[in-house]
Amino acid sequence: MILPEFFALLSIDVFLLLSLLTCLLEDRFPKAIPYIYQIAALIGFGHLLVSRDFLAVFGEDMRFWYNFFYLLVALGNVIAINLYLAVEKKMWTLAKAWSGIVTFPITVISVFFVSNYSYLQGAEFPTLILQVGLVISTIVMGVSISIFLSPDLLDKLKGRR
Amino acid sequence: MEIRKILFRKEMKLVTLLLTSMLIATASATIYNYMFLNANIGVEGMTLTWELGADNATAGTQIAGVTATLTNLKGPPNGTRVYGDPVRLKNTAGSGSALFDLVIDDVSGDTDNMSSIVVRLYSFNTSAYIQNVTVWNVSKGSDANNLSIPAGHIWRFEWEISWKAIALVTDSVTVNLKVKVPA
Repeated sequence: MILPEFFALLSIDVFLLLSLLTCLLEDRFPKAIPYIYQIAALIGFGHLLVSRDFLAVFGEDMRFWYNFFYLLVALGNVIAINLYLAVEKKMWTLAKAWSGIVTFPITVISVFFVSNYSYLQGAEFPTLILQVGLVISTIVMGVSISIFLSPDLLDKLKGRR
Repeated sequence: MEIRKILFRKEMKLVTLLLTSMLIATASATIYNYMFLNANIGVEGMTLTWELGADNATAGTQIAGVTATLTNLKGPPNGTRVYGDPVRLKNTAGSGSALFDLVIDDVSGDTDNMSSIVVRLYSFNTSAYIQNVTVWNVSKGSDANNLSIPAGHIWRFEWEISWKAIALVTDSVTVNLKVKVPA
């Protein structure tokens, strides 16, 4: 069983990861970005502190929603960086690598924990989402493996067009 | 030389961010762990749950996992006030008694002006008196160990608070009670 505050903990780790990654890629981002993400993580830490003291006062629903909102903000930032690299900076290779290494795994992990939490809380989980998610994952994985094993495939596909 | 300087600055920045990240992540995980333990200790190991009693509003009863907190215990100066039913304890098991310790976790507030707090346990099912627990008498009282509550039974906690003559009408105390399964 997980507490709603787990989403805040996950979001803090996402912000810290973003801070370190943007620091490593500092030439591609404004200099203040890593520090802004550290502050965002600190806000999450303060948020956990407040939650701890008001654990008995805030209801389960309220705690879920404000932690879930914080997680959405963290995920929004991951996707925003992906878009920034792809659209603003036009660094396609880096954007693709970011989506594969950061965006996709973090999104999958978040969806997994949110669905797990809602299942344990007795909320009805739409199984269609699970099936669609599995189909998409299988397609993405299949295409990725094909391209990985024969890089010429992508060029051939482009050539046909 | 210039490149080395830039690299050093970059490394320092990364190391600083790495250290602060580790600090924030560790502190956050510690707080989450504390909250998790506080909320769930009672769920897996035992079948006891706190329930709000009829006087929960006046006593300011709050329940969080294994802890029941009474935040608004008041009384007249040089007098005694009895809260008949601020909190209850239920054994939700279908069969078998539950053995537990009643831990007086914390007593805070205007304790200097207070004479004593005594909790009397009664069975809600049979109305039978179970036992007394002294929560406060000059100092914090002792925990009540090895209590046994039958399956499906509810115990009512009656609170008797006596205040000294110097107590003010605004004085109040907060008490945290926890249930613990003996190791």
